[in-house]
Amino acid sequence: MISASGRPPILQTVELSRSFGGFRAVDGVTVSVEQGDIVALIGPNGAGKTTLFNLISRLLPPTSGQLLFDGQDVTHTSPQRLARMGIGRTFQDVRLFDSMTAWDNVAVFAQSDRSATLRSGLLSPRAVRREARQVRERVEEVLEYAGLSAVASTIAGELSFAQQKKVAIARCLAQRARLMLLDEPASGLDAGEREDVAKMIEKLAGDGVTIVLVEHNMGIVREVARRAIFLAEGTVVGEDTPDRLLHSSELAEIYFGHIRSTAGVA
Amino acid sequence: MIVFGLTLVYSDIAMQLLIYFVVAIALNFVIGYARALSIHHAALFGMGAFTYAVMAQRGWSNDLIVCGLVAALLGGLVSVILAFGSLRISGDYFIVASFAFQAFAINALFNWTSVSGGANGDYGLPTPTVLGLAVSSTFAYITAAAVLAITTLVFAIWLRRSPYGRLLRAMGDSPSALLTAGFGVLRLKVGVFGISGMLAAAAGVLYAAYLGVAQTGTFDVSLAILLVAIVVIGGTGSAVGSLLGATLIAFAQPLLSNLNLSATTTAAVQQLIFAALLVGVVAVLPRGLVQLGDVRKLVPRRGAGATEP
Ligand SMILES: Nc1ncnc2c1ncn2[C@@H]1O[C@H](COP(=O)(O)OP(=O)(O)OP(=O)(O)O)[C@@H](O)[C@H]1O
Ligand SMILES: [Mg+2]
Repeated sequence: MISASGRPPILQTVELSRSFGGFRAVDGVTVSVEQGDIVALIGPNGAGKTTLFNLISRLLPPTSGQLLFDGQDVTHTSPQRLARMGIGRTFQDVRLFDSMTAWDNVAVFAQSDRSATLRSGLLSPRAVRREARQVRERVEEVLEYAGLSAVASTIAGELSFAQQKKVAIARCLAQRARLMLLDEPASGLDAGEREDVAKMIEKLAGDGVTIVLVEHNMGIVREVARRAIFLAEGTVVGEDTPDRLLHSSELAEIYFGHIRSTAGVA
Repeated sequence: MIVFGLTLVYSDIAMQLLIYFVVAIALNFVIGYARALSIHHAALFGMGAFTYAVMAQRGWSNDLIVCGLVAALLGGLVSVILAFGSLRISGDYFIVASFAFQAFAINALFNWTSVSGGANGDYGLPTPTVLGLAVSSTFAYITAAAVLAITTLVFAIWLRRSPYGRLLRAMGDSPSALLTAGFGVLRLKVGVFGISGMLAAAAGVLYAAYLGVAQTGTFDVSLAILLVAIVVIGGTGSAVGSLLGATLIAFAQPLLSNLNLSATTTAAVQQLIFAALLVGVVAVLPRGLVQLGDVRKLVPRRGAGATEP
């Protein structure tokens, strides 16, 4: 499957599945995402959206199926290797390094693989200084881009929720991710903050980053996504522009029927 | 007489404090960075003590630096093996495995009488030297311990601030997020465990050299728990906390011994008091004594201990 641009899709999953015990959380998902696209992954609670992200970032190994990145089979590639290849992600529960500053959070994602050995720190001070300078420049650039320069030295656990979510995106940016998987980047934010995040996503896409986002807020989905994939009970049940997909009465029933039935809990 | 008695006690306290401090920092690396609660640091510490006992007794070397390096190599190696265990066995199960290793190691050592001297232990150990100079006065011992403690502290602070230390802190906060940053945790955990084992064993060398004896009973599970208490009371992940914890315990121990109780009662009362201290401090100061330093943050922080896939 080669797109008009002549490049393979940046991401393809082929019959990707994951079971927990006998329960199929993700069940034969085949999707593909073109370079530079903004795709929304929507569906009711428990549909398997986060699990699919866990499979694509390889934090969970699939039970079966195939994962391709840039046309290359990465089904058995480690999560750290995938991260270095250009897949970045955020977490629904944010997962910042809570005891560290916003600056240090971003710096971790800007550090080279070499910095993970104590030897490199002790034996070649010149290389260490060079890397420290590169990391510093990268972190400052990214914090500026994300509008976080003012809170650079604030402990991440003490930032506002909206700022924490921005730090999470800034971290992906620092690692130069070409594909970003954003798990509910706007949930829990007020209207103004949501608008901020939407702008940031559009800016990223403008800079050539491919984005897949999971989002329950349909306002955001309509605003930023060019394409939406509807997931229910682990399978893809629809794929279209957000507007057309959301106007399908059948899917609305699955989605809102579910929301209504869980409204008491929320 | 009384003055003499007091100076003797104070030098014991000072040695105890400095050496506990070094072992506590070692333990803190594993607890704070790898988030693995180790109950086996008394065994690693003991390995260092018996390294000195054996090397000095057999006339191989009584140089603190030589014995310290050999012990560090040994302790580091054993600790790295345990690091691989910590990757396979997670969370609470690791505590059990660590506890089992502690009990096994001390038991095996006890039965290996040619090394440990069995129930009697190794006693009458030769006094140590450093680069050919005899370490015989109390002052010399305390200087040696202070040099080790200060070197350890400087190293811990340097490590924490280095890019490598940034990755270690990140691993403590969220290993899965660290994976998505492109860092596998295997290398980092092995590194942390290795450093920790090296330090704990090196401290053991000085301990045995100072006391002139090494007995397996000294390094049993109750010491292991005492070490955990020092770290937790002081504050996990903080070198200053380890200093506060070691100071508290080093002063509390001899005070308790002066209560004129029988040896077994003293041990029981000691454990009771340490348990009460541990619970008391953790209830009032969840992040340990270091928390006293920033009253602003006395309110416990949210979000600790979330589970990750
Ligand atoms: N590690 C796991 N072990 C067992 N079951 C799991 C695990 N992770 C997810 N599940 C189950 O898989 C299903 C899909 O979960 P997932 O988190 O992917 O849903 P989601 O679409 O992200 O939902 P939400 O919109 O609520 O975030 C759920 O029923 C969940 O309970
Ligand atoms: Mg989810």
